[in-house]
Amino acid sequence: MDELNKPPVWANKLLRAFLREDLAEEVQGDLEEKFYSDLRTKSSSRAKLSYAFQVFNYMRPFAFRKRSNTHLNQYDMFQNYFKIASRNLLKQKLYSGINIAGLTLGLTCFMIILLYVQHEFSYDRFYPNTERIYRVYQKQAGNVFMGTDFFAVTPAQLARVMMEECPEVTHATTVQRTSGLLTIDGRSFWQEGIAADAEFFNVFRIPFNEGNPQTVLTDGRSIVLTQSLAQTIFGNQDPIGKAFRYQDGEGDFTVTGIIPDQPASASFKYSFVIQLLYSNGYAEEMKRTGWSNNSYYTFFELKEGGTISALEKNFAALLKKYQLPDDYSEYPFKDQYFAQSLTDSYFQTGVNFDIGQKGNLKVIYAYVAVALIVLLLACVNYMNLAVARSIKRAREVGLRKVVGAMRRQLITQFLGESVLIALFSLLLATGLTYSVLPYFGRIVERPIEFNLLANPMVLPALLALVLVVGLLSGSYPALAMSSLKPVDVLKTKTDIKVSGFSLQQFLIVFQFVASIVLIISSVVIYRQLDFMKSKELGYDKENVVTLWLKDRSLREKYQTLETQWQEHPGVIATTITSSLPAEISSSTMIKKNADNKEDMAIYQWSVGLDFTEVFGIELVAGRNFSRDIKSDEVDNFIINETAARALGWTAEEAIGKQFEYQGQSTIIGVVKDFHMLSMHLPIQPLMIRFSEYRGRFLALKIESDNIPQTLSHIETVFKKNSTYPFEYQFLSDEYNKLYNSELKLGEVFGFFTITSIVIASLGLFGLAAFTAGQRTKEIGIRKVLGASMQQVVFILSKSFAWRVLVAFILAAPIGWYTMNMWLQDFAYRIDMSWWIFALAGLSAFLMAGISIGYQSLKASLTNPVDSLRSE
Amino acid sequence: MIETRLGEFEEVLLLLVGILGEDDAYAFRIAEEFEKQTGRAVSIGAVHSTLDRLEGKGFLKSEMGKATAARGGRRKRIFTITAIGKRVLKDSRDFKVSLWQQYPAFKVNFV
Repeated sequence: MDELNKPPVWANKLLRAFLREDLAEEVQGDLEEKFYSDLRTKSSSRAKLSYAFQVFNYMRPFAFRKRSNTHLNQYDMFQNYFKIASRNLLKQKLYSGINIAGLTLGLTCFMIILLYVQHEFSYDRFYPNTERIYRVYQKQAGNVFMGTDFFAVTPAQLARVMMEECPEVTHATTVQRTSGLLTIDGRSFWQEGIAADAEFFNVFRIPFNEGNPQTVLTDGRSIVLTQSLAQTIFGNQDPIGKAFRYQDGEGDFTVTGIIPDQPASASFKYSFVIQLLYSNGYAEEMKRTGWSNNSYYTFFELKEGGTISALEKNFAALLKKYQLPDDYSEYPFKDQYFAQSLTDSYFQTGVNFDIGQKGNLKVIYAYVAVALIVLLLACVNYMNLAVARSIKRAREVGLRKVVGAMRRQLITQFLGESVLIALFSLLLATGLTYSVLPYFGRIVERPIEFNLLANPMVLPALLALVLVVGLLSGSYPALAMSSLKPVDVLKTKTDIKVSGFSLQQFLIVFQFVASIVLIISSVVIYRQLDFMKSKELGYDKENVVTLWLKDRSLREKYQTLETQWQEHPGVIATTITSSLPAEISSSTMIKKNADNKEDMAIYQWSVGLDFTEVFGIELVAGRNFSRDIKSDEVDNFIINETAARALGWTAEEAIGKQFEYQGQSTIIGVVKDFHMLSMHLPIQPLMIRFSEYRGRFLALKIESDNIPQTLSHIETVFKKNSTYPFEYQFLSDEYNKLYNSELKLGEVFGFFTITSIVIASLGLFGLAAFTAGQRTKEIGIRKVLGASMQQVVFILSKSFAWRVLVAFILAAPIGWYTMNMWLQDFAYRIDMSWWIFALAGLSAFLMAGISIGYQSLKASLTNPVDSLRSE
Repeated sequence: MIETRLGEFEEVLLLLVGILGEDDAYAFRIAEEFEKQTGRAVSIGAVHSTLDRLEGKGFLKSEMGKATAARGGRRKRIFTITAIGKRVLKDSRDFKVSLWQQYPAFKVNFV
């Protein structure tokens, strides 16, 4: 029959595409019969058309392929999957326990970090106009101070000028931090607050409990209190209109408004806001011309739709207009202003004199990375154990396939299992997180809330994470298992190998690499911390009591205090200084000498007599200050060795030499270099002046025994001379505060390292148990043939030892590289000596040894009769 | 009130299955016969769908017949009326006859 007289091929294809399999034969037969009967009476094309018409007419529900046919069984199959999964979990309690424990730990770490990150990104977002609040900071190129030339402070006039001349700015406010004693009816309260101009509440739009935000600060003598401060001072009385004194300021200040307490997510906190005009300094500053005195913070509200780039261009013009030619003529630097959003400035570290608490993005990233690694380790455990167990379950897969399971169904089954386990672990992890979170919060010093609903993204993110963890950890077993050929699995009696041992090895190596890197990091961090704590500082931080001079009037009474304190035998020496030797935070410029007018940046420290004795600072040349020599208080200076070197002299040569600082200055002494800045920064040139009236701290060297009695004597004397509350710090504590962020980092890393070691060990333990179980017969035969216990242990441990070795070779450079980067932040740092790596490698070996050893030992102690008896 | 349970098309198809008998009662022949008897065109699909429904109701049963060379070796599905099918047909006829007998203008005597 020729082509013409056949039914159209396309129509046939269409028919086969939708027609039920069991109807195909009869329907095709019928249609073909119809076609050939048509051919007898009609033209071939008519017959074909008719055939197509008939095909289309078969598109009826009854004739369609039933896709739902397989679905009818699905529910039962799911029930079966559940049953098998739970039986497997219960039957192999060790593996299930390891899997669930590992995943729980990993998820807990991750949840904690998730909540931490959520907290870090929640700062300062409670203002209705948050995204339009900005601050101004400046770069004084060349004026490097404490390792950076950025400064958060600006001139007093800037805010007013910005409001007048920058169209992008709706409101701008000048702010200063202040702390002082609020006194009313003979009662005093030491409080930390904010001094600000009348625009403050137009930029920081806080809802008011009482008072009108537009007018509360218009009067120079007004003050706004937070609810809780008002409650403390006035109880249930109405505080509005009440007057009290602030610090040594003249006259009374009147309460004009009450604001709610600052939320925990405020980066800078205060309990009151006082008009900046409370001090004369600001009023005078506003009258000055020129922009060179930077002691105020400037915040502003950007106009809706305004851009920062336009504004920053404006800054240059403003500087040109308002800065006097000789503003910085004494100094070799040029200033440039920038604006930064309030939320960004929370993460901006490395700006001098910055206001408020700061978050560190680098630290956040490090935490997130480590949490991810720990979670990944747990996933790897799951994969490893699942692959191992899959050998046991190979027969199940074979049988399922024989009975008709499709590959897709098997994949669904195994993925479903792992997702379920992950979900179960998430539940446990939620509980664990809830109980561990407060401790973690204490370590990182953040009030992290266990609130999964605070951010609408957190809960879906966690569920998505579980899905990803489940799919990730289940993917390999699912794919490997579902590809097994039933014939292979069912025909042999001995256990077969599932492909994937190479992956398993890779995963174990990965786990060890991660663990070893973490161990190296932790050890390096701890070593560096230890190094900083124990390093010879050049001064003695032990047994030094320091008092922050809140009460400025004590400066005049200093000599009285000194005499009274010295009456006690426990007090060795006292002094008064502008800053503590742990962190000297003031610098200036000098000219090297009369003929060489070269500028030099130098730190300055104002001290009282006896500073060498109190701090144990050694004088290497020249003499100390004396009250009897009048010029000591005017133009005689002591410098440190670094300054002497920078000026081109040795310590001895420097004595009697001069440099130019507010006139000719003479060097009368040189002290040995001491760590006047944190270990992040190298020791800088320093000049020390004898100037008791610049004192901000009192410091007392005391005997190391009977400290409580000595302290109570110090307190008694203090109380006799001041109405301020008595608060003291030990210098060693102040010193440790410098390394607060490193201490936190160390603790968090230690925590994560231990967790990751636990997880990796768990996994290894399970795997070793499995391997030993697999090889019971082999071990039995070996023992029968005369293998000793040691030999058996060796055989079983050998392969693991190899992997640890490979992991160590991979991990050492990674650990070295990352920690070397971290150490670069310190001017004084430890060397990463070989023993750190050796220690990390050894502990990895040890942890592997313990995990494997137990199982190997168990296997080697089995009586061969038991393992060989039955086949 | 008696329920007829059969549509007109269904009733005709049921009757045609009975008429065509064991050899010819398959979808294509039934459709052909329908066209011949009624003069109305019908697609095989429509017929097959209705036969399928009638089988579902239990009025018909079906079996694959023998392979024939004419259809490229493909077998036919042969439909036969079941006992219930016959009774339903009879009920339907009786019901209509009783209606006819109650209609005075057309009163006829069935012999």
